[in-house]
Amino acid sequence: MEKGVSRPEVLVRLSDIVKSFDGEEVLKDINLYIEDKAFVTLLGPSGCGKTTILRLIGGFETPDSGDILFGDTRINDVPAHLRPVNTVFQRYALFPHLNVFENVAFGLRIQKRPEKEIRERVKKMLAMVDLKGYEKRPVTKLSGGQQQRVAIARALINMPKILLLDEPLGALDLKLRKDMQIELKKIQREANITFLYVTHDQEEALTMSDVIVVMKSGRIQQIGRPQDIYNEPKNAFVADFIGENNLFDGIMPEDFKVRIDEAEFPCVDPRPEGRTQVDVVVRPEDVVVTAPGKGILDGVVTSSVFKGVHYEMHVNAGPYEWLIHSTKTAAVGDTIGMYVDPDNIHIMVPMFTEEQSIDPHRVQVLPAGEGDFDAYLDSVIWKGNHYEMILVREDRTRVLCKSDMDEQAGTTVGVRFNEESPAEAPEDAGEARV
Amino acid sequence: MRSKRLLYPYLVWMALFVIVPLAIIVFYALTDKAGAFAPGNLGYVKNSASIYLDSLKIALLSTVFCLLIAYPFAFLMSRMKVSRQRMMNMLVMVPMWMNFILRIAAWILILDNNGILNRILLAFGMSRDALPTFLNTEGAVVVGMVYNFLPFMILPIYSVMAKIPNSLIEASRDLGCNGFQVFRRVILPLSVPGIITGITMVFVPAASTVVIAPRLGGYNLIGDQIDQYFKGSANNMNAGSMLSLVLMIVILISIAIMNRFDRGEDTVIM
Repeated sequence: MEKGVSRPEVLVRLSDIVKSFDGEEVLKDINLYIEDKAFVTLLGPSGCGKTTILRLIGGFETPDSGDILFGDTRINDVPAHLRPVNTVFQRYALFPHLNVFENVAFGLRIQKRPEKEIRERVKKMLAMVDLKGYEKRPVTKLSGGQQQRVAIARALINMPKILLLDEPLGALDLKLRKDMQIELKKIQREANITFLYVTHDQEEALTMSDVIVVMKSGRIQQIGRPQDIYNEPKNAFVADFIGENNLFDGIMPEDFKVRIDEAEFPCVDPRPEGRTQVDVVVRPEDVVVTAPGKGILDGVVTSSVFKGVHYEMHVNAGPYEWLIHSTKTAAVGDTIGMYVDPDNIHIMVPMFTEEQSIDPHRVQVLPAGEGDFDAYLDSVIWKGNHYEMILVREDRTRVLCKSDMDEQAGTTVGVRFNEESPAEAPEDAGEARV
Repeated sequence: MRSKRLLYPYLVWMALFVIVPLAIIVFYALTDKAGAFAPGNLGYVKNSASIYLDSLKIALLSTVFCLLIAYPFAFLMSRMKVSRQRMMNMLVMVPMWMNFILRIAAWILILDNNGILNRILLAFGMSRDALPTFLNTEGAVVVGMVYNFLPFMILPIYSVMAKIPNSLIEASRDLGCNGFQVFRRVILPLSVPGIITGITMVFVPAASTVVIAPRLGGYNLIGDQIDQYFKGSANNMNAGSMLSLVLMIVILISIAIMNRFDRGEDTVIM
């Protein structure tokens, strides 16, 4: 306070964490700190390692290497029941043989608190999660939302330093989920406790979090406030995962200028790391519809759907398909102009920066076992007119593939190098310089 | 409607093979050879009172030993890898496929004065005079019962324990339970239904079984007594029916008491 600004204390720190199951690394060199009283969300597709991080902090797994620090204390070897941490489990894991009161009182009973204190604290806790009067109900007779709140109360009553929540809203229907998002944020403020929240739902993360940690394949992709993650995604994966967007391969002939196909857009970013090949992201709501010829490029409307607040349009411009959210619309078949404010063009370093001797269009993805070799499909991103896939071979080298076919990321696929580039392949055979 | 109609054959079946036989037994129990009402049949029960008590005592002891052996075993089994669980399951059931009489005969070979057990004791240097008598004791009967009925205790407890989700155990650890508290507060209360089923499935047959006591203990339990009334020179269906009826009532009462424990759940056990 003396210096005017008080930096929040770091509560939990993960440093150089590596964890593998059956020889497969699910966490690779994780470095992360969680500030006291913050609402931090681990966001990523299934299998990205987010739940493993939660279980490491909860004490249900131990890292292969690296340290978990609580304040200044290393807690790698502290068993779960001695950690000042509580968890809200994915499927709640309520005790079916106990009623609502006894479920919530469980932790206090283990601590052998006096009966009077238990009664008071459970009563207060149940009021906080809106379950007054449900004390005697068996938990098996509660709705999903109510079970959820019992699970939160059962964890929070122990006043943990940090509450771990493992996709707690996953089993609820949409309406209830939205209500619970606001409810959870409120509970977090009231209880004044750090929340570490795991989800694969980007909207959930944006709604509740102070800080979002985006993860993929056991690595942290980006850490930032929801606004940062949304407006300044660090790479194509983050941009693709958070919200809808237009993602294209771009070329920067000079700083503050990016070419998407033929069209040249002024932008506010210099060449990242001095690169000319870049990924460009434009949010659909940032594309301004103008009269033909009045924008930076023209395109033909291929579909327009009214979505309430805006129209969702698909527009073909050159080889690329653009997604536009606009309050203005045009008839299908019309030509429109499109303009993007330089501020709204976001430049990123490509996900694949290695030199590759083979034309990415000649890389063919097949079912596992049917190609010349198998590889792990690490990411699949739509780039306006093709899917950009990154494959990881057994020897950890990566292969870039550009294909019209959609595949499921996170699976093992077969790979073959075709002799000839398919005739219909787009011509911007970008990164592959032989 | 249709589903109700499908039920009729089963209702007829149950009337024919459950209700009617029961009525026949009750009839025989309350009449004499001539078919006249004979409350004096209760005298047979009085004469066999000590056998009833013996039977209940042996059944109770066998049930307790079965539970003591089966519970930890079922727990360990439920925490094994799934493939290993399947193998253990097999091993528990395989002896049941062997003929009952044969299994008892095997125990005679083990417990006999010149049996395997005593020969092992001799080999370890015990003098011939000091050798204990195993066969024809109550202990031998209990051993035979436990051996025969153990699977019926293990399987229900195991199947309940295997269904306890790991997340409940993790949740209890998360809320501060040490190893013993996890057991005491979560695993034990959640396995009570399995324990109750196991106790019923061991106690009831143990209380009315035949052959084990005469072969291993050299005396009759109530099942053997009833058996005798239904054959040979002693042929007295009325006495046998009366003993059966009373045994059934005793067992029903035992089960009713058990079920009260079930409702009390964790407050009762421990």
